[in-house]
Amino acid sequence: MDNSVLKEVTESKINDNLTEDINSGNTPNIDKETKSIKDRSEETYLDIVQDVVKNSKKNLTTIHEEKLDLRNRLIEFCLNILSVQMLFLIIFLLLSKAIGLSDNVLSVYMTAVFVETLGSVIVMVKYAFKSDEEVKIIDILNAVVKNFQKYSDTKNDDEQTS
Amino acid sequence: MIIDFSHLNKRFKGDFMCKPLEKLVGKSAEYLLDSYSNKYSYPIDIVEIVNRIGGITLGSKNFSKIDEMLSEEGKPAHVIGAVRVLDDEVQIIYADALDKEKDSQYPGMTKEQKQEKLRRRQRFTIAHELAHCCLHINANQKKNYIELRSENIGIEDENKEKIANIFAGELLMPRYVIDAFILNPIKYGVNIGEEISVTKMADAFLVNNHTMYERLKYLINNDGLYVGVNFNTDGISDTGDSFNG
Repeated sequence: MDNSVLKEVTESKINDNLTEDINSGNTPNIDKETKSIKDRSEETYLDIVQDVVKNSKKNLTTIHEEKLDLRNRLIEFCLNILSVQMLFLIIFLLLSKAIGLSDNVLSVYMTAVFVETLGSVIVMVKYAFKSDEEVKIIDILNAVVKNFQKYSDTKNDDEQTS
Repeated sequence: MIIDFSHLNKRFKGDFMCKPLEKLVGKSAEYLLDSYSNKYSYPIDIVEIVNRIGGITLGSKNFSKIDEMLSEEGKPAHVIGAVRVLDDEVQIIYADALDKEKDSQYPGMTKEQKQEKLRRRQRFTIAHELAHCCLHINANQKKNYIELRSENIGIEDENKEKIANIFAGELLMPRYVIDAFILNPIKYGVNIGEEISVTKMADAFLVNNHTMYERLKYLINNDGLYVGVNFNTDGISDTGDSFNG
């Protein structure tokens, strides 16, 4: 049903009809007692657990975004540096005889490029791929949930024995 | 769907907003629970919330005449609720019976079960219409306003209706209580073995099974909650046997 149908219908007719035959005595009341999920202590504990989960989710998202950003910047930086160095290497190889570069100098230059590449990979792995913080947060989350479950189980046992 | 009644009963410039609306416009479901009920309790007494807000009248009605007016060829209309904002009063009207065509789809249901299904739908309709008052009525509303809740709405209104349904879900099935049920299903008696029973949760909240299912699905899909939880959906049509968080 869309509004074009409504435009065809006389609006006042609907309004008039809505005022007729309303049974105000028929309200959907609830016929059972309202219960609370607590016991105030559990409520507070639940709030804490929910806050921890909420904050952890927020932190994990921030860490992930920061690392992704750092990773992209490092990759871009390394690619640029490597491109320039490779360009120089090609030029050196082509012009080595003309400008009198010895094989030793070329070897040293190539080794330096290799070491630098290795260094960038190490930096990336150390900072951009390191997952210690995430693992710690997940460990904390696991511990919080386990503790809450233990607490609930203990309470259930107490209730049953009493 | 909205009908403009400005030509029938205009408010004069300088009039204030309808009193009950002042308490509702722009408010969230959590605010209503904090102010007029308890977000840690279940089932939520929606009639009590309405009474505490004040200035809102509730009533049931047979919408068959309006259905006839709104029906198109091959597309029967089925209005199940309406909200009217008058000068200083809000009226929430809900259907007094289940849809006859749908009714026949549940041949195994007893009269009492059908009555319970209707009562739960009426509760949801009231929450849904309150949602329209909070979210979709302009704060400077200077004219009378009416909104109908129909089971076959047009695309134009679909988004508004979805948002109103989400709000109604938050009001009748508070997140805090759902979390408590899922963290400790045995204590609250909403488990079937290792699985969480959607129908038992629906019984606890006094909502229809499919409404409970949609609320959980919304929380899982939008908030990424309840990872690893198995839900049992036995007895709920169009959902399969179970679904996971």
